[in-house]
Amino acid sequence: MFPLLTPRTTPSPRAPHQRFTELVRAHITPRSPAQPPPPHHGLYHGEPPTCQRHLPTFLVIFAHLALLIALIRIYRIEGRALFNLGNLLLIAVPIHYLLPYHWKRPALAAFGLLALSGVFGPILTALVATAALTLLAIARANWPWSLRALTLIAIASTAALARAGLIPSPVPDLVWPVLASLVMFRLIIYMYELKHARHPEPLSDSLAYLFLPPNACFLHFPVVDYRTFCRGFLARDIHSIQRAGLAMMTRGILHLLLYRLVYHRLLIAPTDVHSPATLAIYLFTNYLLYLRVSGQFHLACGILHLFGYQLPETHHHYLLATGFTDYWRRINIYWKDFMVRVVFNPVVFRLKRWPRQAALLTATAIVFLTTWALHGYQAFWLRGSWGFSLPDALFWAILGSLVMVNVLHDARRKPAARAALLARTPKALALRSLKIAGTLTTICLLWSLWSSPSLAEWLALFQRAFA
Amino acid sequence: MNHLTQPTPAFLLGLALLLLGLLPTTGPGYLRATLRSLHSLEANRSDSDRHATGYYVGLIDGDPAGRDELTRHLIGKPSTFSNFAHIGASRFLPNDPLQFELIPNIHRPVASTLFTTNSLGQRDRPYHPAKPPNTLRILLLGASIDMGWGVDTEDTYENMLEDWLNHHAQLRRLHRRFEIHNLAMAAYSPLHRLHSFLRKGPSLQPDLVLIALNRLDLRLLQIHLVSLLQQGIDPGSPAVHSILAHAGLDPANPNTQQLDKESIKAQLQPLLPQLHDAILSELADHCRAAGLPLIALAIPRASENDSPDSRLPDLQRLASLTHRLHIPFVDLMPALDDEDPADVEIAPWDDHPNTHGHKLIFRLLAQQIVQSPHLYRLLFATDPIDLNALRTAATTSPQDHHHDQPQLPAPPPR
Repeated sequence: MFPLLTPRTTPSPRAPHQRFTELVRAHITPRSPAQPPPPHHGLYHGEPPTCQRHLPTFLVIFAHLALLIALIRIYRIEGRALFNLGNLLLIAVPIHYLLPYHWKRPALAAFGLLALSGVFGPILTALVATAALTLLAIARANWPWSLRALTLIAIASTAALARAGLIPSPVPDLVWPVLASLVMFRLIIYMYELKHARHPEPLSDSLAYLFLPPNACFLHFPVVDYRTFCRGFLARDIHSIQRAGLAMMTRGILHLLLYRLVYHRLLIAPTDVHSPATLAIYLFTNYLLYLRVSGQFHLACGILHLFGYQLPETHHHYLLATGFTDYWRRINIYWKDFMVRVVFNPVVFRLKRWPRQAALLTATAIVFLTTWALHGYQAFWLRGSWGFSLPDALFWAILGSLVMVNVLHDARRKPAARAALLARTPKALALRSLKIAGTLTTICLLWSLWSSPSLAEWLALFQRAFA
Repeated sequence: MNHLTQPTPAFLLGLALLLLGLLPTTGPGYLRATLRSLHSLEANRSDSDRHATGYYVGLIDGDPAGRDELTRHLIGKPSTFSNFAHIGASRFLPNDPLQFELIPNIHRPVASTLFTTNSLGQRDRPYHPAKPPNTLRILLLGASIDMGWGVDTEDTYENMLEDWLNHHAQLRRLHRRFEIHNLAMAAYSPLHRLHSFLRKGPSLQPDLVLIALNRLDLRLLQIHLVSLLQQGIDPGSPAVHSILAHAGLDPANPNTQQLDKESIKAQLQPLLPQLHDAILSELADHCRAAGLPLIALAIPRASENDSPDSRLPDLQRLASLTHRLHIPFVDLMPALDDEDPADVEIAPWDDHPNTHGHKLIFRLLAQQIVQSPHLYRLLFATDPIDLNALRTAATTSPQDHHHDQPQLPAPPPR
């Protein structure tokens, strides 16, 4: 089933974006000198129980973190930027762990700035921080929401002209991608939240959200959702969150090592495709290059866990998708959530008077159109060129169409049929395997189209293979 | 809380990866090469091919034709590190197939090294233009590695070789000095090298020519020819002109000049090996006409991309070509095989050999000279001697030589 496509039979009294509650803050009691000392060791006065410190447990976690930093050093994973960040983590994580609850979020923002400074130097960091804080100040200004949004759009448009070199700018070239990496998506989500928020957002949350430490070395960064980010802060025992983060980081490192094996040892150039076998090798290994993205995202989100932020998985066994909606749900989950929240749900809500299937199809089509446009937008800010091409447009159009067909199919399928597919009978397993193989083959084909500079060169690949 | 102090599967996996990472990665073999690739930050060979990148690789690693500034920054490039193009050491030559050359008497700091040129516009020690008596003057034609990008002037394999030749001649009491004039320059294609030889060679009165070849030569040649064709400059080589004209690429034709870069590159792609052969053949003819011995050197980059498996087809092509042209071919590609690329590259974002890499290239070159009677006679005009005796003589020599001596191999079979 397409995410969040199931119509609610009993409408919630609150819109989806307003359903989140600050679970942690409910535990915080105001500081009062008259109150008795905290009942638990390892807690400052008034802290939530999930913040409770336990030195032996933390030392084990710290040893695991040191092991991962050693791996990053030995394998030179992602270069010096990540190694520098790793060294910073060895200092920042214990400090953050020991800091009182109220200081943790501002400290995260400070560590984010330190990480940026470690990679890009103090001058560039000062420029980026000034620009990002200015944008944040506009987003939080006491003006009507639409005026703030228009101001931000006007600033972004002017910056885009400068980024494209169409107007002169004294800003060093490196500032644009670094700044964009911090704000290009997060500011959209933040503004969306501000539009629907009933209360002002705390500044400490906003700063921590803006200056995420791993962003310094992963400029192509997962689109972390603001509300999920805030809600996940110490949402359960800190040690459990940190352990989950370490597991995520380990998975990320494993993905990045596998990527290197594929990239250096298995991947062949398209010009080396001369037979169906070499074509198959090319198609599969070309798709496996995505391990770099999943590895980086796991590492980035794993690092955020070390500071007490419990976040969802970024990818979930995307090679094992059984259909196109399933694929869309498993690969880059944060992007899918971003699209669902900012595009899909609002569109479906606006089309609530339409027949259900028509509304679903329209919303899905708009999601893919937006995804295509935003991938160009992302490429523009990070690399300076939009990268729109016929293969790019075809990729998103075909994938979107396949997902729409799948959405319709899933919507018509009865629950019993779905349960039968998940059964562990030989027939169900065989059917599931076939579906996985079919989905994987189709995605590999589509991915090779997306990677091709032109449609003619993509077709030539197959001509060479089957000539 | 106790369960939280137990080792997790992630911790055990991390330990396993740590052990794997500590295994030795140097040496030949598929397993070692695979382990090396786990440690490698380099771009692979197919990255030069736009097909193989795609959206995400382009987004993370930058332009497919080469990592951009942002990516290099993330890998660790300090802001003080300059590119060759930015240090102002070269000058443009308008309407000239040579296109650019080094400016004489340059002193530019590049990271922790000093980039210098002599009064003759060579990345080399100072030399007098006139050849001193009893001196064998050698010209080295090459590209950035041979120019010594990223190392000090004294640390290029060319200068180490010059020192060794002089030291060796002194040990053998030969009344002969050696000067190697380095005409190499960054981004010089084989056609640039031919023009550099024709332009600067005669006045230097050389006795021998070394041409350094590497696996980027075809790409450099493609870039050079695209530039010449777009500017309407004749390539200055009859053979090259003929091949291009046959393919409909005449630099004098305005239609060719108006072609976009990608179209010209696509048309040139299948012609590159043929063009390379023609240029080397023309250089060999010029040397033969001038009575100059020509020796080809295959120079490695400090990169996994020049590993034995990867380089084999290119190396076979070069060996076959030089064999056809009767040019002695010295394969120096194995010089860095036993090293982790990280130990011999100047930086993770730049696979030019560092000082240690140059030393290894020089050592292998010296060994090859000692092992090959033909090369030895070309240089020393005498037969190699018993090397054991030479080693004994070397240890008793009072002269303190600042470069490591090559491991002198066993005497060549007679």
